[in-house]
Amino acid sequence: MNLEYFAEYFADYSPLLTAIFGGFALGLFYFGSLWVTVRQLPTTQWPIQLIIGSLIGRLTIALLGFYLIIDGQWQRALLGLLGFILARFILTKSLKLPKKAKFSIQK
Amino acid sequence: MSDISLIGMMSIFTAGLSIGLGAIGPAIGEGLALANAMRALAQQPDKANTITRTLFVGMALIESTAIYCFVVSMILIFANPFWNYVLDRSGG
Repeated sequence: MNLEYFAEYFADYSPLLTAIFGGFALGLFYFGSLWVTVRQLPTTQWPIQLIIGSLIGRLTIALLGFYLIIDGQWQRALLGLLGFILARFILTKSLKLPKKAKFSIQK
Repeated sequence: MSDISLIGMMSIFTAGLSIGLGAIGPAIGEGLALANAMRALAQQPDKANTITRTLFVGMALIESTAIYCFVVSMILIFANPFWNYVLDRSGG
């Protein structure tokens, strides 16, 4: 078990790892910009245009990103999707309303 | 009709069917979620923080179902495992 062994081991699996990280970055971008869009909703003058424009922009970038991630291998597509869902899980967990805030609102 | 042309035809047809049907449900769900959130925001503007956070969690769930269908149709078009299998078997 030396470093060269690990480097070789990583080289075999690095396309799959880059697929997971690419999907994760894509998911962070997609749901992060969804969060930014949703936060603008209460104050904006054009809510419908905002939501539709944001959806089209985000979907275009996600489409291009997944096309680059897949690269002809269906395993990479599934791993990219896994990273995408992981980013969604982390963002929704971190942005959920904490229970203390609920009580302070009801006061 | 040969096996290869049948598989290619059905793959493209199924990819279109997948993203076509997969767009209907998220579209209805997202429209309902957004309409109800805007109604709630108009009625209770002081609770905008709670409403937008809940709307974000709901929209993330809804939009990821569309992404599932999108990835399935992309696999069928660009990285079809059955297509590669048949090509390997036929030696092409």
